[in-house]
This record gives sequence, structure tokens and C-alpha cells, in this order.
Amino acid sequence: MKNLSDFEIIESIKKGNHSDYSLLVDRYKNKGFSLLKRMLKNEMEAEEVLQDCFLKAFNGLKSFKQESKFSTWFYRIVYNTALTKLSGKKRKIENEMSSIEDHFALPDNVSGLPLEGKELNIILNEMVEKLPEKYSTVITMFYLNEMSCEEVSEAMHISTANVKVLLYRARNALKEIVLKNNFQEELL
Amino acid sequence: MNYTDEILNKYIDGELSGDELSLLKDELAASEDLQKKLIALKMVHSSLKGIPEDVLSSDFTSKVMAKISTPLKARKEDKYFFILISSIFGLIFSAVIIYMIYGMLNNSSAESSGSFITGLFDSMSDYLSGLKNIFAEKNLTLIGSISSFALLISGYFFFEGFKTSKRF
Repeated sequence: MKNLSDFEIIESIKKGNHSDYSLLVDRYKNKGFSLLKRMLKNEMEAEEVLQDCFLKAFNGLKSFKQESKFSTWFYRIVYNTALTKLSGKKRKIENEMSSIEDHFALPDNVSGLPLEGKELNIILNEMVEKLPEKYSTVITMFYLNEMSCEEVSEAMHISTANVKVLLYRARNALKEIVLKNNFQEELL
Repeated sequence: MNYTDEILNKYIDGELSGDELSLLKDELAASEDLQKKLIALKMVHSSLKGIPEDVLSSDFTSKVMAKISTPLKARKEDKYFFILISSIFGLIFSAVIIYMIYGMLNNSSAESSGSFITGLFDSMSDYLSGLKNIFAEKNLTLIGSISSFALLISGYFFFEGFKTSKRF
């Protein structure tokens, strides 16, 4: 049963086997949680919102036309629900476009901070969580959820070009931390 | 984000054309600073690939399934309740009809003169007179209350059924 595709599970649920939905929940709960945790910056809230997202997805399965992958559709629900939760955020594409030039600052130097002495991937993981939510969303969807830029653009309802801009900016900000703390010297 | 940063990111994603790749290699050979940037970007890229997945509590799935099955159970119970009420009303209605037919048959057999159909019509007019008495002024308030109550119950079940069909 666990090797069934998302499509097959959804068909089974539509036929009345509602308990099969637990397979989809198990499949996407951790990645959905990672995304929400980085957007909402709060684990308890993220878990609560994730439950709501799964309920919305269940109730919307009837209208899910399978034109895109279930994962993309589900992460879109997660993203939109998180934005709703973060009240005051601008959701329209034009507003996202206008804020693409926003600059953000991460701590330049990790010395003296609790991050010192930790491995690079742990430090970077913590830095990702400090990024503004649209940047952390792109990083999480691209790397953790293993989505393509096209799928990320569909989930976030922005163009693929904008996804790449957000991705490059986030990477560059993290690259600056590596450079300023000479982490690359360890490899040389 | 300057031109070089964009080129380096495209290189990481394997999106450079042959000419661009060749140009970048020439620039890398000439610039130690650019080499450091590329190494740093590669480190970021590989570290981000290795970000550990967050793990939720083991009972998360059961919590979600419980929230899903509770409304489904409630909808099933609503459905059975609706069927029960409809059945009761149906039985009452059937009993009234059977009683009327029984009365008509009795009247038509007691009055042996005349055709069966005439007797049936006579019984019908007796019942209509009886109905007229029921809807007399003094009984109107009671009839109105019962009708309003029946309408409210029907409206509630219709609305609930409509909501249920919309939900799934």
C-alpha cells in the first residue's frame, strides 16, 4: 500500500477509503512542517497550521483535478495558509515583484554567537530560518522539498524568473557568511 | 546581485551555455577572488542539500485523521437521523391514507345501494367536511404551529444536506 503513487491513493480516497489519506499525511507531513516552521518561525504554530492544511487538502480532494502534482498543490495550500496566518503580508504577484529588490541582512560574523563551533550545515540551516519568509520558502521548497523552480513558481504563484532571483539572492547571502567567516579555507 | 553572482549561480544549477562556461573558466583562471566565491557558493549549495528534514511527533497523523473522521461520523449520524424522521413521517402519512381508504370501503359497503364509485365520492366529501372542521378558526393556531415546526425541521435538514454535499 505504501508504494502507491499519490494519484492512486487519491483515487482510493475518492472511492470512499478515507483512511488511505493517512498515507498522504505520512508522506508530506515532515516536509510541510519544515516549510511552515521556516515561514512562521514557531514550531507549535507550524504544527497547528499544518493540521489545518491537511484538512483543507482533504476537503478539496474532490476538486483536485490532477493537472499538477499533488505535492505542488499541497505545498501551495501550505504556503497560502501560512501567508494568511502571517497577517499583513502582501500576497499578490505585483506586490511580490515590487519587494524582490528588498535587501536583508544576516549576521556577518558568527564569532561570539551561539553558532560558533557548529558545523557549517547546521549554521546555514539556522541562517535559512532567519531569512525573510519568501527566501526561506524558496530555499526550503527547492532543497528540502526537492521541487523544481517551475513547481516552486506554481506553489508560490510567482514567475519562474522570480523564483530564481529569490533563490540566487538567498544563496548569495549565505555565501557571504561563508566568505566572511572563511569557512571555504577549511576546504583548501 | 551582480552579473558574476548570477553567472556563478547558473553554473551551480548547470544552466550555462557552452560559450558562457568557457568564459567563466577563463575568468576563474584569472581571479583567485572569483575562485573563492565559487567554492563558497558550492559549499552553500551542498550544505543546503543536506539540511535535515524536520520530524513531527508520531501521533500527528492520528490527530489529523481524528479531525477528519469526526465530521464524517457526524454526517453519517445526521443521515441516519434524517432517514429515521422521514420514515416516521412516511408511516404516519401511510397510516392516515390506509385509515381513509378503510373508512371509505366501510362506508361504501354499508351503503349497499348505488355504485361503489358514488359511495367513494360520498366518503371523500365526508372527510373533506371533517378537514374543514380541523381548519376551523379555533384550530387554525394549532395547525399553523404544527406546520411552522414541520417547515423548520425540513428546512434544517435541507440546509444540512446541502452543506454536506458542498463539503465533499
